[in-house]
Amino acid sequence: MEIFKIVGLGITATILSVIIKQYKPEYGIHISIATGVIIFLLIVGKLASILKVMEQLTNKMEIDLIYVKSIFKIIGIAYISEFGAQVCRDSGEESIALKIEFAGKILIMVLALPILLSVLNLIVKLIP
Amino acid sequence: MIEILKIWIINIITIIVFISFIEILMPNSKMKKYLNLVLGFIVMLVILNPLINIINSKVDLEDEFYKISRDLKKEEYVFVSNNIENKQKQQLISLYEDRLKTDVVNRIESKYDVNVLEIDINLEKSEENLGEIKKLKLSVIEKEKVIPIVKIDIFKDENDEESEKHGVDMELKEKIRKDISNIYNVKNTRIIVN
Repeated sequence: MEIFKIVGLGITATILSVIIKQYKPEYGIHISIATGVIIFLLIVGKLASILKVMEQLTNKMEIDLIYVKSIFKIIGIAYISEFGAQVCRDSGEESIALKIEFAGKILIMVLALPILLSVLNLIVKLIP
Repeated sequence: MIEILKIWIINIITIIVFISFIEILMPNSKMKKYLNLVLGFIVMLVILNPLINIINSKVDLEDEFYKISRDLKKEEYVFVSNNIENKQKQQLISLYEDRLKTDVVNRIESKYDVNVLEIDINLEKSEENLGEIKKLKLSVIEKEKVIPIVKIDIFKDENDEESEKHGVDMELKEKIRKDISNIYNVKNTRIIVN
């Protein structure tokens, strides 16, 4: 059972981090980053299979594949920027976390803009 | 007609299912509203799709998408390349300034019996006269000669001797000024020699 593995890892890392923080607070951040990466690596295979199923689902539709790719990219950017921002926030760097989120927003906007504009153009063209 | 309707309905149902899946996948954070925006547009596209096909069959959404994203990328690259160009120009100017400085120093030191203490060159940075010397400041000091052993008179005024030893006389300064103005084609008034 994968979930036991992940929860066990999480709880162990939390206890370790709490104990270590009393003596060397700077190592707590390292533990939390490492735990996050390990958990992500444990589920990345499952995530890939989900994405494949999604792709098959969209193949059946008449909708263009680029939009789906953009959506997945947006989700990826959101997750990664969230992860980075959360790590920064845990170590008390609120301002750096905000900047990471800002960068993520900009990148998402860059991806979303073509979709937005193409829909707009389409609607304009529909009006006779 | 019924076939088109069937495809349309299937499309709408699949996109709704797809979007509910995506909502689960999405981290519940500030980013969610951005994704919701895009998803809303996509639902709109799917619903509008048959209408587009009926009214105007020439509209290719994929083409449109690629065109817009290409334009965005182009703008980004123009911005970046402009930055690089400016940086290159600045590097070129600073390199030129350094070369000019060493050139002047070498010329003066080899021709006259002086050491150049400090040199300051102000270059024109506007487009038309790029690289023209605006101002040239030079401070020179006479080369230290091997001082012969002299009997030192304690009672002689020390200040007098000091100025004699290190100062460069006006004639030599004028000579250096003329020389520089001849070689680099700079107006005499723009050169200061100390």
